[in-house]
Amino acid sequence: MAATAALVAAAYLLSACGGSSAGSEIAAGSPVSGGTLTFYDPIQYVAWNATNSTWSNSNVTDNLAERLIWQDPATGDFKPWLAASWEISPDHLVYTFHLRKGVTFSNGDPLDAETVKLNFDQHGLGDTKLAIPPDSFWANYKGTKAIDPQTVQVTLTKPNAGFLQVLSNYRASSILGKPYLKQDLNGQSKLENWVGTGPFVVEKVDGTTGVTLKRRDDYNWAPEGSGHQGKAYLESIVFKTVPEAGTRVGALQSGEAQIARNIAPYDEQTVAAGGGKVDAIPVQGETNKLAFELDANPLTQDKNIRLALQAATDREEINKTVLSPSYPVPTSLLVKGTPLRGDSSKYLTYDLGKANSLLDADGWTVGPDGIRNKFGKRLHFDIWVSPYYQVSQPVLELLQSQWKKAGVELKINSASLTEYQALEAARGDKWSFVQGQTSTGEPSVLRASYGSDRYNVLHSPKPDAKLDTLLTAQALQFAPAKRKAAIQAIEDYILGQGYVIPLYDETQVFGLGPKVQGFGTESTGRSWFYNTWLSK
Amino acid sequence: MTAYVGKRLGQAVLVLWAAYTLSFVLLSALPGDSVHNRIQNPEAQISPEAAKVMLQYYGLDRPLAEQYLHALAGVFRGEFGYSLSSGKSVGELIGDALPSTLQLTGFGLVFGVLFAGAVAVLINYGRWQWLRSLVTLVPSLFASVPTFVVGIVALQYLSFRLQLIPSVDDGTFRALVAPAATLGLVVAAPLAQVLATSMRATRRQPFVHVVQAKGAGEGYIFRKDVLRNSSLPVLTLLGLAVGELIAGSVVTESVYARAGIGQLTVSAVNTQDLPVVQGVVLLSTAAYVVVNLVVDLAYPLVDPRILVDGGSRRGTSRRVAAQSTEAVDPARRRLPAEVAMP
Repeated sequence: MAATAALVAAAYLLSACGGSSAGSEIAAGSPVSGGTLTFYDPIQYVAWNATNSTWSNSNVTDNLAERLIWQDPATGDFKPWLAASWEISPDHLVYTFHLRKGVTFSNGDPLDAETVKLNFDQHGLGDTKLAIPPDSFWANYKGTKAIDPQTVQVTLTKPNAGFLQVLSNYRASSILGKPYLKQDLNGQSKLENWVGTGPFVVEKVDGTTGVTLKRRDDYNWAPEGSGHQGKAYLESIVFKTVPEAGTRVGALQSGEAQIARNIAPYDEQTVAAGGGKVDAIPVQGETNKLAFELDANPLTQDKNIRLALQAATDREEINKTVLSPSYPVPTSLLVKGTPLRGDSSKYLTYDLGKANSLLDADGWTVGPDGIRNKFGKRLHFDIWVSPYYQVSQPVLELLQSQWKKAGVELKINSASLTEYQALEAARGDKWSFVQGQTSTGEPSVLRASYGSDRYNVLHSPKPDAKLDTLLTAQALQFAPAKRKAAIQAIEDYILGQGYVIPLYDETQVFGLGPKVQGFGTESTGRSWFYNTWLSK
Repeated sequence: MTAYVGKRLGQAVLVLWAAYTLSFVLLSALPGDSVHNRIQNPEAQISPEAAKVMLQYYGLDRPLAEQYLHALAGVFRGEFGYSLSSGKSVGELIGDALPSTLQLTGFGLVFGVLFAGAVAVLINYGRWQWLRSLVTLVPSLFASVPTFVVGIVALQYLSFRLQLIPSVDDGTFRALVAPAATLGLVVAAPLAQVLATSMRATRRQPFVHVVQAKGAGEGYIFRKDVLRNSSLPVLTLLGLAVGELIAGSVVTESVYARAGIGQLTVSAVNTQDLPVVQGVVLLSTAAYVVVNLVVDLAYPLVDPRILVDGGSRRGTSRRVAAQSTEAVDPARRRLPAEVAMP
């Protein structure tokens, strides 16, 4: 009955009793109200600013505040939430929202147009008095007008096909109450100050290692398309920082915790064997990839070398050897399930013969130790293990052995988080690759990542005008079919140039205890506990 | 005595200042800081202009010397600044974490002392030779097993298999037993070693033979003479054990997911949260200095001869603890003026 379509088919299930492969959204019987769910997270909580997208924090805050628009994580469709309806002007510059009636914040204030305007102004323009920086998601923001208490109008300076998704995004458009917005940067970083409209409210904060949320009994404005209406099932949720992976897995087995985030590939079996479920949720947005840094090492500027390394990368083997079926093999620059993603499988097939012939033609001859060289220079690259991804090291070690088959030497270096960042900022001539991804349930994430005026992940010595043109063009296509073609054109260009090597689809792996039913997330893998309940 | 205490207090303040300054210099020399880390994280997507606003707000755009003086002036006002990663005041963060760590280290110390005492007594008074030899190996065994291994093994069996204790801190006393015992083992190893050695030395002292000749039993001698005379080097070690407790709590708190100063330190170091690290440095230096001061002042209570000789016996005891051959420096040894009659 309460089968929420909140999860994606990639979630797989290995429960002791043998279950379906549809993951946890298949609820066992009718939902039970009440109970406390305990959630173990490996990472300590940092500043609680609304724009903070740290995994640990956003798994909590996604349950406290809501957006005008709800994005269905399964289909990518936009549905009414705090806005009952909206109109978009023909030139795609003016968005008019009619707010839902009867919505209140946790402090009792009603949701009105003025509060929405204050939120959007703070994102779009920042507030120097409060030291609130403008939010990069809100580029080209002109302003917001409160037409009447129930109607609010947002105006942009340039059309943006991804704007509806921005309005549905937890870190870019969560609507918070006035008391929160009056706080300065430090005040906004305290969770105690959060005033939202969500199904849960903050009950207790324990330093940087624990949070308790409790249910709001008068909550009654769940988005249509969510599993049910009215208040949430869970009475309360206890979040706790538990850095030790063994402790998190053991606690699932002993029933001390019901959900643990970040289950390593080698622990997935243990969780399943203990009667739990492994819930792997694709994080919509970019695949986890190696981007060539074009300003560092002259070798990275040779297109033949780039394409050869692409062909020498065996993604299937990476998946089977060091990851698990939880992590889909990439077939696009965007993760499975991201709306309008392209199909680029033809660029991503493993072909050692092609890699070798490309390098032969490029004049690289195999030396006595199996490594190629040209004019006495070895075909050698350095890479640093990324501190942001728990599976980075084993994946790179396997890649090292794969590339060696094509006569390429890859040296793996390790560094602490801060050393890594210092190296990245210094951009020495060994800095040939960066492993990373950006997650947003919208293809314009490519613009955020590659745009020379944005994150500029490739660091071309001079901006690649053709790429920038393609990235801007997709934002002007509002018909889905045309926009899909524009996204495919970006993928064709980037992969045709061999600019990046996708490794695996970015995935959040949760371990669920046997009692957890109806667990789900928003489109980028952040927990949303509204439909979750615990069976007796 | 007052002059002595005054001098020691002056030294304590100097040590605190030096630790604060040194840690500031070291941490500033490292590349990056918490705010830069936040700015550069690819997930964060913070624009350069936004970054500038944040750096200004946290005062990180000012010259280093100015930052240092500003922070130091704050310390004298009792303000330790704000955490760069969580936005809370450092005082608040430490205040939240301290009770849990005090519980852990306090019980850890009690457990360690009891355990060390038991081992030392067994080594000296064990009934069978084989038992005495076996127990002699215990201190080196515990000194060489890393804390996190003990912790993880204990969790596997006590918590996940037998479900006797909760695996993470839930505020109950039951959750405190295993972490405190884990931490106690680390502290117990050197204590047991020194206590056993100094008991053996004390039992060989001539005055013990005198007491024995007067007909006192082994138990009486142990309570009245041996225990007190052999505890002096242990007292010195206790002062040093504070450092081990603080260091051990970092690992213990991580393994048992206890929200204390140790976990706070780990995350502050990981995120290069300078004000928090500075606060923790001040706190642990203060703890260390205070405990050692107390130990110094407690010597005369245990061994009145120290005041008779004047000055501090610290150096002597340290040397003795290091050599752990003799309980009391033979050069200054004298018979107690009166030997109690049983």
